Amino acid sequence: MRKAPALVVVLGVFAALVTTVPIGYLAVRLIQGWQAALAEILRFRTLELLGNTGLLVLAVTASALVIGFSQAWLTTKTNVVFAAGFAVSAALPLAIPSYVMALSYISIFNGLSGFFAAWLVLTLATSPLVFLAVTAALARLDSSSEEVARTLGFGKLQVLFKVTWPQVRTAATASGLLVALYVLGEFGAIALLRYDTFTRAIYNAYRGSFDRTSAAALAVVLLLITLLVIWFERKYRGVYVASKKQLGKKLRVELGIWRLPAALWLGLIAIFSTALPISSLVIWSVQGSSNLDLGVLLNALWGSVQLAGLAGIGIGIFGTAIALWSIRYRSRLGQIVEWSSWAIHAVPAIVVGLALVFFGANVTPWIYQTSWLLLIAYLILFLPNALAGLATPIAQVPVLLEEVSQSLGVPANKSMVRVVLPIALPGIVAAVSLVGLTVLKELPATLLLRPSSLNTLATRLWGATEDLAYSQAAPYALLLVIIAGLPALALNLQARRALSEVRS
Amino acid sequence: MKKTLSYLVAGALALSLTACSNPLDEDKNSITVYAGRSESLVQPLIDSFQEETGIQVEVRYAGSAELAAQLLEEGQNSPADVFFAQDAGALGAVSKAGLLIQLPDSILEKVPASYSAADGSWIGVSGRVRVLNYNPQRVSQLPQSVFDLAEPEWKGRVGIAPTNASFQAFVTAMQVIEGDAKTLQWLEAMKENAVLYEKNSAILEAVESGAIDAGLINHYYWFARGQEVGFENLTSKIGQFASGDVGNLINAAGVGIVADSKAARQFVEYLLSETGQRYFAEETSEYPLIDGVTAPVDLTPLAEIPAPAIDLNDLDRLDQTLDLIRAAGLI
Amino acid sequence: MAELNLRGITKTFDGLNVLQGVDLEVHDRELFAVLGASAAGKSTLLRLIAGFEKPTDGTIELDGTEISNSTSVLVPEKRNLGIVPQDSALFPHLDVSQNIGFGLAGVSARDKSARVAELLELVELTEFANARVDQLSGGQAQRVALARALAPKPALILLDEPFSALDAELRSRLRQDVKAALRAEGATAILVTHDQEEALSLADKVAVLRNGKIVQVGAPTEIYSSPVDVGIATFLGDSVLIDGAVAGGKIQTVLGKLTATGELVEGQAGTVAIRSENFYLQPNPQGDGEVVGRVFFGHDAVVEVDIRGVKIRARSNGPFAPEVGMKVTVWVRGAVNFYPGS
Repeated sequence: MRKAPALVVVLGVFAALVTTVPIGYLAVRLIQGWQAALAEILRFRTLELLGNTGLLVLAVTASALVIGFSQAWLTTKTNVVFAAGFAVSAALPLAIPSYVMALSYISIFNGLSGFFAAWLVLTLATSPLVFLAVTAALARLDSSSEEVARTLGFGKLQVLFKVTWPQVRTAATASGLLVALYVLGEFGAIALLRYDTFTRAIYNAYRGSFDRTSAAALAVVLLLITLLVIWFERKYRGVYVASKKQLGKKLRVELGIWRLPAALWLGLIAIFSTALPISSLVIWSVQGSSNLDLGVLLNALWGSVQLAGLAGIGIGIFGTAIALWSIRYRSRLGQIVEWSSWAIHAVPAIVVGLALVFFGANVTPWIYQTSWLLLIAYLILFLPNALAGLATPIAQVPVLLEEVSQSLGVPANKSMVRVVLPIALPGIVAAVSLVGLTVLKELPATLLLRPSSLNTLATRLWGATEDLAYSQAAPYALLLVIIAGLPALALNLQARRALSEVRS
Repeated sequence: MKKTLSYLVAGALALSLTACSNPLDEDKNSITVYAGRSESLVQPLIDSFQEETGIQVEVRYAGSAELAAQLLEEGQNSPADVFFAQDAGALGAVSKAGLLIQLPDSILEKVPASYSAADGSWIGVSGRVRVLNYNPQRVSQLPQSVFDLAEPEWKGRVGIAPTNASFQAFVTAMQVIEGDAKTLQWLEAMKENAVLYEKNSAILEAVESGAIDAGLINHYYWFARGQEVGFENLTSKIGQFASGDVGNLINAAGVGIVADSKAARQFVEYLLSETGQRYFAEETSEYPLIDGVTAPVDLTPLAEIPAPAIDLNDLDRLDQTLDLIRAAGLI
Repeated sequence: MAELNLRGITKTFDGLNVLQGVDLEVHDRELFAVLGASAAGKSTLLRLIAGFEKPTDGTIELDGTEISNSTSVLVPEKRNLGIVPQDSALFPHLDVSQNIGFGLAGVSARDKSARVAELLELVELTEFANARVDQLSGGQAQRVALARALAPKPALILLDEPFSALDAELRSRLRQDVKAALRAEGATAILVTHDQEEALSLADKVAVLRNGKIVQVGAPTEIYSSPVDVGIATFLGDSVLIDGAVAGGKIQTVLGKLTATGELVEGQAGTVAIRSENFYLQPNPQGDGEVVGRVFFGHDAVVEVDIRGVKIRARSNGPFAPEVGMKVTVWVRGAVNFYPGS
């Protein structure tokens, strides 16, 4: 019934154009050089990459599911010792960017590389995703069905497989698909561990060939695979509807003699995923502290913070406009715009970077190699994250408050500003902060698009790792964990607590 | 609590708004250099150039091949003024695309003709030699030819950096001398045998730490390391292959001007000045190319290096080299 | 002057008729109540008046100007009304004074604070002027909501079941406070509620809404004593229904001949509605009635009496209510309501 104000529409449409056009240019580029593109795709190497990528995705998803589920089940449903402590440690690896995790492992095991290394590091980095999803699902379960099963004679393990698992299966599978998407788009860790997947191949093709059409071709193949996985993910997500029932009785499974082994298992994971990497980084940082060029570090820190701040604010403005347009004004066009930004979310960061390099160099040279193009890359990459975080605070403001405001003589659009925005503001700020922190950690797009004089913590870390100068890289890695990883984890957990699990 | 945390974080991020560098500022007293060299090696020289002349230099560091590709991509839109490449191959490729201006004779005559482009589009500023960096405790007998490294006994023991311009130039030389087929064969064998690194410095590090037994690098990395930590503290040594083997390739790092300006020429002249050449000789242990500056005594004089006979101008087929390297699956 | 006129208001949602042909007239300074069971369409009616919904048919006129019809609706912000919703809906990001002053636009700061102070005093919350919204109790919040609605001196105040969220004791106190505040402001108000006590005690006029239709409009005493059909008779207050037939100008029932109001057609059979409180139970060992049940409420009691096979529930003074098993004679005070047919 209400028309959105012009400002909101303009911001929304601009964001939509900015996010879709450069990616579209990728297609143009491919069509222009279609013969080279086809030749590239039909190489045996592409098949090899497909195999490598597929294998890694499947392996990491499987192991992350096993580890994440075991952590969730043990800490939520059993009487393992230090359950609360292990619940915290299980989520902690999210504070460590995956390339930092890879770096720390390379610095411990000299020359670590290849499939198993990538499998290990990515599993440790992604199991928290499964852990958090399954924990949330388990927490909402009513134990009565499990109790009934026990009275019917089911043993503990049988209850786990036949009663508990089917109820959380959807949450677990959805998070498993999230892991798959993550691995598909993962660049930093895989490149450091020198395992050839599509992302690394794209980067190398970008750097190692004059006709970058081959890079574009690989990028498109990766994009198609990602879309396929996303399609699956959406299908599963659609089925998941949690009951809003209050938490039922909690049945704690008695582990008996398995209590200690279970605790050892959780402890082992905690050591490998958090304690070991962090210790390694600290040790290397101390070693490199004498050589540390503080000026370079501060310069990189400033670069990171600048970009994150600007990106956060820009994405916040666009995101709020689109969220308001789609959710509160219920505009059809607004919802299409929102959907399109989600579709672009499928594009891996390195592909976004590549598309913008092509677009910038050929179509809009005046922003090429400036911070503006990089900020556009961040907009493309992280607008969906912002929208996800903004949806709840913006939707939660009761319509009644807007109506009361209108009855008091304040027109509808002004009511949005005087009532909805101020009430939603804490949630908006949290969502934007989270986006800013994610920008702080970004690597591939920044590598491709940064202006020559701008360095970030991530790019400096990358450069140092190329030289195998671990003592140089470690302080940057630690700093990233402290100023980006940990606050992001805290905000993330807070948002999860506030978020209701009902999705339709 | 949530409110406080959010506002705190937001406030911290908002502080960054206070300063926003606008890189679109075009000061006519500044140039942009695409440098395919190691930042740690050349930035000090560039810094002293800035101090001496007051010209601002914005440097973009990346691999020479990548920068060449970027220049080709950008074409006339490129923000670069000068291309400072690690090896002749990259310069040749960019020159072939017509992106480099003809350098004035006053600059060209500073170095011997064999170290510059025949058409005068680029000029060498320092010489480098390909060497085998090896751990004497693990390698008792040096391989006679770089082709020996393709043998199964070297599996997992040798390191190369396929994305590095020097390696790529060396492969180009191999193509020119031995032909595409043999080169591809060697590359495919190396895919099996070699451990891949991003940079020469990484290979050196790996040989020093014992992760690998040997690696193909440029000579000056070893010398620079020795100067830093003391030659007696180095585990590894460097050696050459048999005389005339393509593994002993002599190459030159060089510059070309993309967008002509007084400042750009000043930069090129600075690199070729006594200050600049002395820097290359003393700080980075490369071979100076102008008269009047002598190579450091530890280095074997260029004339005595058992190098293959090849004209640097023939190395201008970098794109074909890259195709071959990629065909072998190394990139 | 605030005169609200609803003519033939009909509202359909997805094929469901929520309101049908509603006619209402609310006069200046009147406190008008719309009484109806849940889902009778009360809230929809209010939303139509406020301008948040468009009528499917019919018109709404305020002071002679048409503000809603089936094709166009004047936007809410231009209607000069105030709303007091069910759960006060105070703006959480503003304090009490800011909430109250929210609708005072284009007013100098001095005038604004004067008006806010005036209203704070009216609702007796002066010391809460700078309190945060979450520090208020339910009753206090509703008073602030009322003050907020009154602040811009609207033509009309709409109250949507404003007391239903509060507990019983608070409710009755608050009701009278609200009535006094509305009177003091000279406001015209429409109150929708399902609570008959609320409607009867507060309003000058009550309209009974049933299944989307207005079935009776009148002063509280009028609709209480003369409900227009059996439904209203049982909805409003306690009524006992027994069969009866018209005989000789009176209604012949099991309780004897009873006087009825209205036109009577000789011989007509129908239902008689008697208010529980209109029974008088006289203890009488030879009486026809026997007390078979009693529920004691303190100030009164509901006594169930079996009289000649018919069970009636009578309200009786607490301390003097007959015990179970007692024999009583049942008297009916005053006139009863007779509804022909069944």
